[in-house]
Amino acid sequence: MPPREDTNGAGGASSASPSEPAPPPPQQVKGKGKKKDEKKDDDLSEEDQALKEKLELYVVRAQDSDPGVQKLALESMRQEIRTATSSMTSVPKPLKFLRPHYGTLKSYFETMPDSDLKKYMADILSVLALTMSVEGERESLKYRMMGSEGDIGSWGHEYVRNLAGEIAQEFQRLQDDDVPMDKSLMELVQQIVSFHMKHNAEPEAVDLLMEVENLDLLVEHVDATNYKRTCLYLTSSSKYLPAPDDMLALKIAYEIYLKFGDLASALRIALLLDNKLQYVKQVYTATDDLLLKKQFSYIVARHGLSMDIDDEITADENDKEVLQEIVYNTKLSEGYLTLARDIEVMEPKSPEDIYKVTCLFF
Amino acid sequence: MQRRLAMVSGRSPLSRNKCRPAPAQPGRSSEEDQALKEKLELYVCARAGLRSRRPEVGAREHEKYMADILSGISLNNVRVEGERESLKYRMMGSEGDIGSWGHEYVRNLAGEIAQEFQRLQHNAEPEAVDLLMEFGDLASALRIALLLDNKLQYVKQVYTATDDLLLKKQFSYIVARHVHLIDGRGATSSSLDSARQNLAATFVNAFVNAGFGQDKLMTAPSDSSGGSSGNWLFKNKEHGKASAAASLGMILLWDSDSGLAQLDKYLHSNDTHVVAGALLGIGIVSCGVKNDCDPAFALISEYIGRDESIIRIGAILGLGIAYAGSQKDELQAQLSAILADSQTPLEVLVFTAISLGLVFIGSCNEEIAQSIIFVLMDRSEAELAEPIIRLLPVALGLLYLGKQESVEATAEVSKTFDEKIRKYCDVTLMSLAYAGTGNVLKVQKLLGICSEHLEKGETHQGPAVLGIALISMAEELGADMAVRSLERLLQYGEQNIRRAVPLALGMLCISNPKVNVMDTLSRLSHDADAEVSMAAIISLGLIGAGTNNARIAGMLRNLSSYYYKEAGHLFCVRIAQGLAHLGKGLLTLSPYHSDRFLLSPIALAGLVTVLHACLDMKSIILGKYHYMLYILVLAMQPRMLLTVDQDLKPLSVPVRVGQAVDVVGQAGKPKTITGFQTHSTPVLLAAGERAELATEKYVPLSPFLEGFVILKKNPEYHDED
Repeated sequence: MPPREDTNGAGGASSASPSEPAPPPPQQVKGKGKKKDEKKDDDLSEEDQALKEKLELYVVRAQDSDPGVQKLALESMRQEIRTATSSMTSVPKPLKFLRPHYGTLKSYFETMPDSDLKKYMADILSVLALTMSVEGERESLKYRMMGSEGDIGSWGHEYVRNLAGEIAQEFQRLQDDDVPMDKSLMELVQQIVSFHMKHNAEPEAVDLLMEVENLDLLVEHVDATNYKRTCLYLTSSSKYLPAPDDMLALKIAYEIYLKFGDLASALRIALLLDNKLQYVKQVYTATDDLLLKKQFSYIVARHGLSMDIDDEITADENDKEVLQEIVYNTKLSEGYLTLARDIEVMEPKSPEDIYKVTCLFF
Repeated sequence: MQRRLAMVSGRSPLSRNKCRPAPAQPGRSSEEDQALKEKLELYVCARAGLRSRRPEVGAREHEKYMADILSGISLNNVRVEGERESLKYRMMGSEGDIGSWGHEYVRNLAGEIAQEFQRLQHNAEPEAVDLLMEFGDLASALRIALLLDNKLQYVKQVYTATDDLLLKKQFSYIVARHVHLIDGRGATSSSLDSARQNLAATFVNAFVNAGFGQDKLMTAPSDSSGGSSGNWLFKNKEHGKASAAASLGMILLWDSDSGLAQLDKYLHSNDTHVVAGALLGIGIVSCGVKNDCDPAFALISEYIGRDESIIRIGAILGLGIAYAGSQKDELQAQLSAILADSQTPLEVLVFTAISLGLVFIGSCNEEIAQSIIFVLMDRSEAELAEPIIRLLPVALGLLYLGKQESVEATAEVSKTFDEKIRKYCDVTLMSLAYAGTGNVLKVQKLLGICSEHLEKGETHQGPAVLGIALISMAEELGADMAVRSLERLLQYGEQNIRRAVPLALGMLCISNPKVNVMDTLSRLSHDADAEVSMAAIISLGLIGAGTNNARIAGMLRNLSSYYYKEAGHLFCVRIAQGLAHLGKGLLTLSPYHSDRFLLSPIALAGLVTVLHACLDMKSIILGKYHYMLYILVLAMQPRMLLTVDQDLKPLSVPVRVGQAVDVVGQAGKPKTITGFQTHSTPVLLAAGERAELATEKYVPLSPFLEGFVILKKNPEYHDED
């Protein structure tokens, strides 16, 4: 494909800038767009030309008075868009060829009576808005909300990402106007989160939920395969979040770890939370495995947390004593000396040995 | 000497006179050269014969003449290094114009004189001096004269050898410089300040043998009744003895049974410093190790009300270290009472506040905060000017360590303080409250403070610089950016900022000797400003703490000879050497653990307190509060992975240890370490390293392989055979 076309296509989303004469405002799409298309026709391969004509036909038919014809046209259009698998770097061809008709379809959509067909049309407009919508207009989201609410993933990854971005913007606007988020929007968020979580895109799910300040929803979407990555992202990003959000992210990670029984990891986070003793105890009581509790005690001891092993943690007096000893670091010296003997550095060193040392060990 | 000869042009007659090389390369000589050669050979015939005939030559003039020639020839002859024949014959020769033999001859002679001089030691100095004077090289003669025993006589001789006043002035400069040097050397060897050197050795010994339970100074088995421990103790003076006694606690670190038993005997000493040190030592031994019987509290608490300040300090600081982070109620009651007593000496007061801060780290305890604030408001202006007063805001800040906005109420009150301490307190409180949070806004604010131009000797920019490090150390990216910002401050900042920068760098890379920071500190360790260079030296120790890093060890060794006559610097170098070999390389000072995720507040508190003390190195660390260095014990931890079995007995298994890889946001199961090596546990882990089991036979109970990790048999594993 010639690079000229490529840039034209990719730049489409932001083509509203006045300095650029080429992309016409939606209303005039027909006249100007055609002129341009003609110029381009020569560059298109036969295959592309056929696709282009086919799509143009669908656009005309979609505005047909016969609902049957309309439906067929829309379905075909939808089919074309969905099957277009394209690389990440260029706009899929059906989308590109449909771009000049976005305005036409949009204005026709306004005249349509409420019906399944209208929803169908909204779906397609929502996808087209991916490349056409003017920055900040959030048209993709707008049409999505009017659409049939079908499987979001069927339109591809990029569509979902774009939608997520628009949701974040919308949420910001709602916040500024002090309007609560409505239920349908929340459902859409859920849909997107679940899509991302199923497709190895945990960070994007987490990001979206953080944007809409509803991180708790995450817990129900994680599963055994992705909870580790999700928590890793949560804990790592917590370092970069401002004050209350960082603790929230950690708390969610803590809950997820607890949910999947990764108690040692949960403990690690508990030690970072405010009110840590309460959370640490919760981790202890989540298991009956004494050995695991011993491991917890080693971690608590390393952190230097002063904690009394009480009846809640274990009722057995002997066990209590063993755990308390570990928390008290009673065996730290022994372990350290084990290491020293293993590395063979028990021999005492005098200050002179250090002053003169060239390479003391290893 | 050889190099000088190489400079001789190949065309000089002397070089042609070589007996051996000439026939070896006949083709190379031009005809002219050949002729010259033959002529000379005729003159000389057999040089050996000439030489042996010499004694028989009757006339003295002839003899001298011959000696001159021999002297000239021997310049070039294949000669045994160190024979100094040229000089020998010159001395026997006619003593004529030395220059007539050419430049190279004189140089050679001078070289031989130098050799001769070394040999002569002190018996033939007149000749050497005479010779140089003969050359008219009076300045060199003076130099040699200055080295001689009755130098005054020879120096005078040099002076009288010329009438040139200008030259005499130059001589006077040389003499003046030399006298200075002599004094300098003399000062070190006598004031060698053996007390300070021993004090340094005490710390080095304590740091290096920390936790091993044995050393060569304090615990070495006693051959006689006295025991060497007692001996070493009394090689220290006054408060030095306190640090020496306390060092026993460091050597026996974490082994409270044996430690308390060994320290107990010093409690009965008549020497208040020894008792104080023993009390501190008890605290150090018990650091991080607790016991239901609370032996440390039982042993120490009766001493906090004693009359002698030093004993009180030892007891109070000991309690602070032993019970750091414990929030022990009894301590609040007892220590707050000391704070409230207006009769309490200032230094006791400061250490009481520090201990309260340590015991109640991050507790946001209002009552304690109030009592420290009261001290800061109540004490006179003169007292507020004392150097250690800077530790009071630190104590206050420790109560809010990492607690972010909880500090605000207290910070508001601090705005009403005397202006001497107000800003210092404000900045310190903020930097401690946000320590380890990575809060960029606060870092920006602190950077803003550092860009101010101070008018009247305010000191709050030091803690601001430290604050940048404390806050941004939270994650790698921020830490790297902070390092860069600090480099800027070094270039543009004022002196009080530059003094804190090395310490801030030390904090950012603690026990993590990054090469770029190492280089910066190495450069600063030679800075003209003593406080800057001392801080840089200490920081070299901090970044290399417990790593045995060979490069840092080399730098410190060089610094020890560079600063051999600067007692203060040398002390810092020694401390840094001790730190670099902390626990013989088995310990770390890093407050971060568990894959650099968790920040131990106790460790951080220890580091912060010591760093603030280092902001005024001269008055605190080099003064009588050197034992504050022991507060570092709060951050000391073995940098190990020790795997244990279900009975908590050590279990050796193969593990892969490699550089940690950041896998955040990566799909699938990416490798978490790179460039790994396989070892058997127990194994040391360096900064930025991660370990993973290299066997399927066991399952670790903690996903993060650090410190003590319990292994369970893998039920799904079946031995191959």
